[in-house]
Amino acid sequence: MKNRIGLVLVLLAVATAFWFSWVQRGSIEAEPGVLTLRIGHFTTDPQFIGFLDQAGAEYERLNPGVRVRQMAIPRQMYLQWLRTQLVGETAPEIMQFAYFMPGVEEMVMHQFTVLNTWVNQPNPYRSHETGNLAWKDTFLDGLNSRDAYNEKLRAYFGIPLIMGGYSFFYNETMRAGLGIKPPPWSYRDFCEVAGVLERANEMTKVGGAVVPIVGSEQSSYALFKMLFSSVTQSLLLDLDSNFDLRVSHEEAATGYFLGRWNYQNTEVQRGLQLIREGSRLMNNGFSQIQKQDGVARFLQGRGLALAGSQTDLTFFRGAATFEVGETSFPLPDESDPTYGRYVLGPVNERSGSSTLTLGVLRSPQQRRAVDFLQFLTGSAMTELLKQETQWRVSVKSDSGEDMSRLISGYPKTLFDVLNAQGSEQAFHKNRYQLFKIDGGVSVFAKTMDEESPEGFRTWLDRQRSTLGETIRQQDAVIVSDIMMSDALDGKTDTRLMDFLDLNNRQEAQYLRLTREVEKIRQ
Amino acid sequence: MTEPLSGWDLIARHLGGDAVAAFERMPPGDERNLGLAAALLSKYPQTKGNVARAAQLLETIIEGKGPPMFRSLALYLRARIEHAFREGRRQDAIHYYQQLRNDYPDSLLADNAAVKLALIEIERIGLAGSDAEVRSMIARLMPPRGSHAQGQYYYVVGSFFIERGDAQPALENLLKVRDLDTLVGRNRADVLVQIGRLSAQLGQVELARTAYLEFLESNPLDPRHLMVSDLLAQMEESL
Repeated sequence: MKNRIGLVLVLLAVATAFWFSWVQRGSIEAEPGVLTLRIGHFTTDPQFIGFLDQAGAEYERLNPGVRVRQMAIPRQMYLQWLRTQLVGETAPEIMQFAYFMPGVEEMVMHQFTVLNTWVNQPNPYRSHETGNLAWKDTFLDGLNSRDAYNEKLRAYFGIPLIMGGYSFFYNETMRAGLGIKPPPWSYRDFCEVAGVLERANEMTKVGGAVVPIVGSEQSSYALFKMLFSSVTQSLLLDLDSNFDLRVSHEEAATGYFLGRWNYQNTEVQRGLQLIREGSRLMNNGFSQIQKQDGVARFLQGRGLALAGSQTDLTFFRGAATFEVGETSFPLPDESDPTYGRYVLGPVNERSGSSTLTLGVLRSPQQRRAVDFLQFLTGSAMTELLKQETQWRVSVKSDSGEDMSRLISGYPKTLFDVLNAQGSEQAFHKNRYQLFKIDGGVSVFAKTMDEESPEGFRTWLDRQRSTLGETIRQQDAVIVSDIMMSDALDGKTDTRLMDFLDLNNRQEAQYLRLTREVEKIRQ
Repeated sequence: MTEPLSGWDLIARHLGGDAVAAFERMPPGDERNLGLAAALLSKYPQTKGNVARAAQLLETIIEGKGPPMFRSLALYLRARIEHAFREGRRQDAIHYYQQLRNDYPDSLLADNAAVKLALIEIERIGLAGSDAEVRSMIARLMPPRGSHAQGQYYYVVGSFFIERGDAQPALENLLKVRDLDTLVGRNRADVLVQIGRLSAQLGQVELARTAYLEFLESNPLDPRHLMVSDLLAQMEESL
């Protein structure tokens, strides 16, 4: 019975996807002498659709003989639709893709155009760029996101339009009405908000207390990540074994066995304590609440604030009956009486991989399609995208205001690095101990130190094995790159040089991992 | 209609199975054998049978009198089979790497072979080797000729010294990487930070300051910007 229901749902999804395509196809029938560029995507926010319509119209004005049409497919159906389009050889010339969707990486590798030649040249649609900056260098993250740049193939396949990342949203109408001081708030400031909110019951449209922060699986993760990172900054320096001021998952896992940290470590305990305290600012049962339910609670006025994706701001402002503000996360600063001495500086708000990535299908129209992507990430369309969506765009704007309102600071990655590879299962299984009334940091930490080591060992073994396979596959690719290179013997081919550099670094890393794994086994 | 992908393009896209088929359609010759060997090595999962067949195809090219381009690439892949696919067969790998360097000293992969030979020696000596043994090992190695390969060579040697906890030789090697000026973007940023931190640890303040300042100026959007500023400020304060 369950299988039949599943089958029916799949067929329904496919049929719906076809229906969407069919409905939109009516507007893109080929006209003689006209080149039609179709863009398939799953970003169905009305603001983005509006932006793309305007951008398309402007491109058509500049390029008579070209038509631009978008095909907005609901996200739940997009993957099935994409597969069907590719198999049926009816895929649009430009398509959004994301590697978190299963099987997409292979589709991209097989069907999409490698963009290396273009990204290493200036974007003709950028105005007054100094020094003829390469297109990839106009991106705030240097086009280094996982979707844009495929490390395995050493090739660029995607052009992202916006920056990802989390923001702290709040109900400005509620804040002003309650006389709460305006942001930015420190952690200590925000703790005082809880007392003020006891009076807020009268202001809510539904029964129940108004919480300082609406909690959900996503909202709590975003907040805890920042809280933990704010008081563990010195630990980062201890774990940074290769002196590059980055802590990799490998450094964290090997550092655990080398005694550089464990869950009894002072900084880790402080981070966990702060998370436990921070959880008291949220509604009960937050970790069981899905993102959309958390959003609904916020829009219902059941909380002053909510942590979410920065792209949610546009939706909030459209859906909320109150004014929505966006500010920095409320974190301890150096003056905090409890945590101040652990704080070296603010937590970075600027890092965050670019997303909403568009790729180009290998086709006779690929040059035109790439040109359109250059146009979309040019100066004029970048400003239009910002204006229409209020999202953080992926490309540096001419005004240079891109990240100026975001804080530069210490990395926020330590929470993920310590708890997301190897110890992830143990963390998710046992985290309730951290939050429950008769639980706490020491109970949770003891359990994690008992259960994490096996996970770390398994993860390190797997990393070593995967890295070895990757290196072995690279050897053939190096030879093929030389055979396809325009440079004699591949010399002066900078892409090839970069690849050899990567290959050697990874092989050195593989040897190091091998030594570490053997040491841990002893 | 779009052109079908060549065998080499299919390998570059990690489509080994399709690449084998593409090369099998080629006329007999060194390129076909080289392509087939590379395609077999790129196939996933990697099997001993495919590796053995690739080795045979490469030996055919190596023993033949075909164009130097194919022979040099065949020597490289043959060395890689012993080094990476059949782990532990270091001497066999060394034999092919050295033959590549002797027969085609100006080729790109002969230079890369120098880096691989350094990796073999590093693996052989490991962390347990004494300082004297490590110095002797480094002295025996022949660095590559080309600047890009030199940069990679000094980087892997420098990283090895970092792992051993030998800050001074680590710093010396990373300074060579910096001065070769072949790294760009994030890779250069990383080396500058490493130089800064190692120099500061060794009390070589001016070196640290130069490295940090170059990092700060050329990487304004790097997430480590504030951390490096703070480290520089702390270092200046302590003087």
